[in-house]
Amino acid sequence: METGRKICLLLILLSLILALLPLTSNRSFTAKPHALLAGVLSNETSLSVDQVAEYIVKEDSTIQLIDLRMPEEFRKQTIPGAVNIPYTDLISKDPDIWLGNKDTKSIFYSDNDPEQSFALVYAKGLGYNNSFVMSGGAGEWVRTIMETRFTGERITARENALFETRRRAGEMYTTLNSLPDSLKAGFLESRKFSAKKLDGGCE
Amino acid sequence: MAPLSSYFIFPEWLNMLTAFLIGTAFGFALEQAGFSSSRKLAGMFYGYDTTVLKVFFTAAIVALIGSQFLGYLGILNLNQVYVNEFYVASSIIGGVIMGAGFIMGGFCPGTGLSALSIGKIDAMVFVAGGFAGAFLFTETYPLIEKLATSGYRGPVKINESIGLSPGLFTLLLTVAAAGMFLVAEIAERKFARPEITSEL
Amino acid sequence: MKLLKQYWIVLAIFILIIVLVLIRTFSTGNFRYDAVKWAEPSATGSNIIYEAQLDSMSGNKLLIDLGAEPVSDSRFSDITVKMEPGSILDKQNIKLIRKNRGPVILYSDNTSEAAKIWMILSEMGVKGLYILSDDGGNK
Repeated sequence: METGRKICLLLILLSLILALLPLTSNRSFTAKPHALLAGVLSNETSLSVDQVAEYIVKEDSTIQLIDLRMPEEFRKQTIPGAVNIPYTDLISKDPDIWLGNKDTKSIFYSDNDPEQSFALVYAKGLGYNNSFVMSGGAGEWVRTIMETRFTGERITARENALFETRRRAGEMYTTLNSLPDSLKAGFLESRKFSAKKLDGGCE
Repeated sequence: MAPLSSYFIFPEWLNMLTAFLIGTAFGFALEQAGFSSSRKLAGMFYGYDTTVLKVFFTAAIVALIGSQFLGYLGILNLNQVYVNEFYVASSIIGGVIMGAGFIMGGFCPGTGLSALSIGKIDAMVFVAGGFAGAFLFTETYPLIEKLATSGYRGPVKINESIGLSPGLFTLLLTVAAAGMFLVAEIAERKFARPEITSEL
Repeated sequence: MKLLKQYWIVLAIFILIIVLVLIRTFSTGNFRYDAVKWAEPSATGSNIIYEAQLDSMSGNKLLIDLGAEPVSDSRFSDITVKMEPGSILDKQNIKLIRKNRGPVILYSDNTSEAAKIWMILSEMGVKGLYILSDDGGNK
């Protein structure tokens, strides 16, 4: 009985503390500030447009290209293989459904730089270490893949491979974005995420 | 940050071993609380023995408070903790069936197994009945599937659906629990029966 | 006194938990609880300001120059402090930022750097933190 009373009292006191704390069901950063800073400032988290183009041309399934722009902009111009997660959704919803697969590289891009950098730090801060940005964003993609042409006199093997990758990526980009709206919408819908459910237990 | 399974892929044998150890601890706790006695368990419904209420409610409150603190201190990631999915019809019908079975048989599934382990024959029959019921459910599932999956609400949490913060909800639940324990003690005095365990 | 002796264990556990909670709540070298709350200004865009808005901001402005190129406008030289991006979390720099009673504005010719540092500092609980964007600059 005495023990019972003590336990009761302790539990009530502890729940009083809890009632005063600003608890929410939202997540907190698990990374340490110094480590996170060093990680995001290094070049390791930034992938060039050419690197991304190579992944796309090879249809590499270990990467996941995430377009942070609003749905209307995504529907107008889409990089093949990208899924649309508007930045506001990434912040307000539980990102685990999109970023939870540890074996997949998540590559963020947007058309203005602050947004993709915010997303990178946010994702890495929450513990999703396999997060990257496409340096330069969607604008750089268009400038590099769609608009650059080889202008020298002689081409080396490496340059040839590079321009060939760009050409194929550009072709995939053009094909996708020139689909009639209905077909394109259908294709993009099929690429949408379905929420990842945790396997349940019973009692 | 826990759960550790979000960082490491544990081998199957380790998962099984952990489950075994937790199960052992749970069975030990049930047995030492006297839950192998069907009279003690049924006493919850007649009012003369409210141990079941106190033990299980205290366990729930300790888990609730503990997990909230661990979440706040950054030791446990509460978003990774599984939340049961809520089907309204299943919960109500299943609750009625289980309640009836509990008071008639004097056991619930977990305590039935702990009583079985000390050799009680009524527990053996009870557990066999439980298996039969589960088997019947799976065999007739196509017929009752619609009912079993109706009223799906998803993995809801009470505090979210009534719009309270987790901390405030915890406080209210703890105070409610303390109140219920007080009522339980009054009931025990009112519905007291002569102690029968010394006869066994 | 007798009551205290009886309930000493309750008191001990209670005080221990309070101490842990206070340490977690007021620790400045760590990220704050609730990542969403501190990231919100980046979702609404309210953390980006332009040079024209600088004059109208109240309070002690502190402009932090993170980039290789200095801030173009010499008007702001007296409120500007130069910091290396990698050293922003050093003790004296963080102290300067937290002590400032007014808006802290990050500036870099490399917008992504400023953005990354904004997110880290905001998540550490720094309020009134902004990024200075070039007016009509290349984005």
